[in-house]
Amino acid sequence: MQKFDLIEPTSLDEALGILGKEDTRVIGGGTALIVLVKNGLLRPRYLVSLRKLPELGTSKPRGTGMSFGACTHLRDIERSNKVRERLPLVSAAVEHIGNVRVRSAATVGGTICEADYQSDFAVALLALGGRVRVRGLQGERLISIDEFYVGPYTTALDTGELVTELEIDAAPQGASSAYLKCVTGPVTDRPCVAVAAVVGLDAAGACVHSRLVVGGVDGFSSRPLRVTAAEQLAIGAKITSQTIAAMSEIACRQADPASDLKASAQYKKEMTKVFCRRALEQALGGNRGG
Amino acid sequence: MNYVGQSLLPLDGREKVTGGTAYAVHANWPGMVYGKILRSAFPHARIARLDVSRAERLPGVSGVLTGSDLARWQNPYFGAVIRDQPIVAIDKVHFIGDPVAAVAAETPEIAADALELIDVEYEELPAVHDAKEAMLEHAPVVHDRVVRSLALFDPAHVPIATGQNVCGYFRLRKGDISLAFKQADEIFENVYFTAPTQHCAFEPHTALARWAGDKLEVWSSTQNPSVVKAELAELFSLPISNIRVVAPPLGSGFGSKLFLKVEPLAVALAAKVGRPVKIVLDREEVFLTLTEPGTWIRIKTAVLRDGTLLGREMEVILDTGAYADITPRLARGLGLVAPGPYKISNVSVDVYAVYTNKAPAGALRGVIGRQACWAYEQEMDQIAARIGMDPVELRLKNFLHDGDKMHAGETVEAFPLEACLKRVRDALDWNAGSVIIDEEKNKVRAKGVACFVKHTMTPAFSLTDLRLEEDGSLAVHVGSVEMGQGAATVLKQMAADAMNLPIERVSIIMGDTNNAPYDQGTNSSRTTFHMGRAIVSGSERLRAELLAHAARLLEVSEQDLEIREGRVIARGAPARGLSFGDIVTRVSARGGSLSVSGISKSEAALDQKTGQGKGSTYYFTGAGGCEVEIDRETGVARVLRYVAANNVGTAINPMICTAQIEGSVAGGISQTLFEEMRWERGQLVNPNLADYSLLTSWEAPPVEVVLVESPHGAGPFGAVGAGEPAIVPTSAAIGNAVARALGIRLFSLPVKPDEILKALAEK
Repeated sequence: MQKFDLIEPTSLDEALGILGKEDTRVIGGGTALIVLVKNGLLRPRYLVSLRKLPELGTSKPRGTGMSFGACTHLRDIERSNKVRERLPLVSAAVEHIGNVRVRSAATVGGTICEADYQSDFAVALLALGGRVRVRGLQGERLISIDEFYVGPYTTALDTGELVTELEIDAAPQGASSAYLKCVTGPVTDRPCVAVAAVVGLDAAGACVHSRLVVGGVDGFSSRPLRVTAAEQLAIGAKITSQTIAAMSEIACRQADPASDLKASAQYKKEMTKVFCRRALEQALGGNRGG
Repeated sequence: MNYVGQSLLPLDGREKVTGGTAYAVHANWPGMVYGKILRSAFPHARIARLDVSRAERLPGVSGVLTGSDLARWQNPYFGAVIRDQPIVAIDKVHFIGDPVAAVAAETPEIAADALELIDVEYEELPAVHDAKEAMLEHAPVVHDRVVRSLALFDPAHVPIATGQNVCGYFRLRKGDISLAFKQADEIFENVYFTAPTQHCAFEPHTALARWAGDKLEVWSSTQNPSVVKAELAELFSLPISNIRVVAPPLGSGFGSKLFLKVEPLAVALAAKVGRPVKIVLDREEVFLTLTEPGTWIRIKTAVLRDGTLLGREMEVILDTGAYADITPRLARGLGLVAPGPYKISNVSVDVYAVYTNKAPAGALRGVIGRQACWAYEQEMDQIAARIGMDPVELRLKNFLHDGDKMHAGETVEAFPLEACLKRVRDALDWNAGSVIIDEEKNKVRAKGVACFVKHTMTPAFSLTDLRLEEDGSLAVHVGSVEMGQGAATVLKQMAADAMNLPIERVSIIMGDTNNAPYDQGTNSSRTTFHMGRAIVSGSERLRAELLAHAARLLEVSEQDLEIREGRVIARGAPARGLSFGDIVTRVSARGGSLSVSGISKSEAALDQKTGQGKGSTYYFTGAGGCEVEIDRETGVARVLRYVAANNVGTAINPMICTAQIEGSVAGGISQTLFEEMRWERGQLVNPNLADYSLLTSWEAPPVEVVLVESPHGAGPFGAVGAGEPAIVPTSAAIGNAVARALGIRLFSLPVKPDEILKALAEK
């Protein structure tokens, strides 16, 4: 494995200063980055760990949702009752990531910046909406989560910028959600297809809020596919099994997955339909709240 | 004292779970340098130019080994059956991953950096990636030179072929197969495939080597240190007595750590740089070091309407990869059992081991028994369906029983197939027609069974030295290896009973060829049987010596003496006796000891034309059954529960037997549902544990283990092995359950969700 210097700055400004150097990468838990370095796909000279910046390790309620410091461990999200209350979709998605050892090491910042095309986390984030707080030498900016994932393993971060915080909005009051992951191998696999569904109904049972996001089906791009045409179809009426079938059909049509070692494109397309239907059914039948 | 039959805790359990076990990878020597290997980027190529000068100049590099350094050894090729594998490439590379050069440096990092400074130019040659294609007349030839090994055992019984890329060929003939097909009411014929898989032992292959003059010391994660020692002696032209091989406990092996693997490179590199060398493979290299062969199996069966199996014809091709390793021997072993555990009067089996330009293949737990069973047991279900018989009844009708002849002609003993299958049937609550459909969830459940027969490596040879110390404690020196399977515990139980000693007075000393005499290896489920027999035979000698000495010392006739709890006493007058320690001191001296050897030896003799004769000392038998649930929308199959009934002869330690069987079943389910090495034009594309899928505890079902005890007359205390056999029926049992659930038959392993969906769509 390529040698690198691990730098652990104690202030954000110091960290940003180091990021200006060539061949520098931020390391979170290292569960993804170190694999890439080991395989020679990345050859950083410096790795900057943010673990000595306590302000990046805290999570707190924010509005109806939560904000997570970039260094928050996925395992802490998984175990947090507050997250389960406010963002049950995030809780559900996080517990599907890798295994408990991976979740104990991996961080929020690292997970979103890795931008793998098969991500449990990104799919849930996009279904809820939120912002990524980013700092660079020029100052701070907020990137909407919809604009954060750009292409294959690529995010909207500029050189020299780092993620400090992730803000995730709760689903509207009364809405319910479901996260489902399709794997062809063991449970620890990355999702072959992942689906997050959020639905909110009014008192009469008509749909007033709808989100349907599918992961792993936009080629090898890291962009989760938000199926807005399907979402719009649901709005304003009762969601019947016909609605669900139509929504799933739209998702399947829009899905353009790539074949990989775990499944063929054709299989992933079919699973998009199956898992959209199941996720919508589960969201509608599931527990209300958040 | 009766330790045999007790579920004693494994001796190494506490050490293992508290992280105290020192594996080979933990060994470090003063002055040691680290070896790293440059591997071929082409599946088949001539090395046009190899320039290591830049690497040699890198600070911290002690030296670089290439093919041109090997001239100092007379025949720098190794191989358990055929010496076809060079220590490092000589002129040619044969697969992507073939070692081209090796660097020794002060740190592993420097060694890795130096690899990038080696300049290689290749002239690509046509490559062959498929074993069946490799047998065609105009296929590229993988090896233009093949040297017959001076193999250490059984060369006469391993047929080696020299045809087009065929490195091993076994033929079995019995009766008149063409007549059987003429007389048949029904004929069944199908072709089955199984993917190549890898062992995925936790611990990667590790070897340390150092020279002191003409003496050589090697520490290795090996399953057969005695064989490694003898092979090193042959390869480096050294007296066997100049070599010491130490095998610390293994982080599992499953067959991947048999015979020479990384040791030759470590030894040659140490010779080149004049310093001790340590090589630890990374996971990708482990995948490229040894695989289980992919197989192609054609099976054709002649059947009478009443379910009698008249005849069976089989043709099997093993994808051997670039070096033969032990696939010629696997071809023979497979041929002995390929028709299944049934009475079939007319049999014709041809098994070919065929070179291709891929990583070498060899043994993996079960030695391809699982693959053969995948074919013959799925055939049994199809036969049963067509003639309208319950699959369990069809098997019961055709089983071989004690006293019958196996396909090669051996009279079989301890063959409780009927008991095994009935136990599985009852535990599963078998009802052949039962298919449970959950329409709402679109899931289907059904059950499947499979039975098997498996051979053991024959001829086989194990020695042990028993040394009774002056205090009456017993040291048992064995060349067996502890790799998590419980060998030390089980051998200790047997030694204590054989010598009638309290178990805490017995030590099993393993892992060092300087102490232990030759043992053929910890493989083929042979340690309990063969090393157990050696210990029992040594104990008999030791007891005889003790009785003779005691008779003289006590002036009592031997017939009037008996051995009890570490003492020789006069029958009926227990006060009159001598402790073992007293005898040792009086016969020898203070500080002295009494040593004897124990031996277990088996022979094989097969006719080369017909494969008839004696091929296996004994055979393992058993049955497996499971309930599988399939999601009809996703094609994902889950094994809900599994029942394994295996004949273990006598369960020396029922808990360890059970654990071994559970492990075999989990491994088999993993290989059935997930495991597949994926090659694309000679490139292995999933050589890591993210892309190569393994079963996790989440998918592993509860396993109900039934220990059937039908003692074998030749086994120590009646025991046979238990390490591998339960893996054999796993794939077929699952395949039969899937077929019953969905009405589709799958012929390829692994059983993949999209294949299931495709088959459903075609139905």
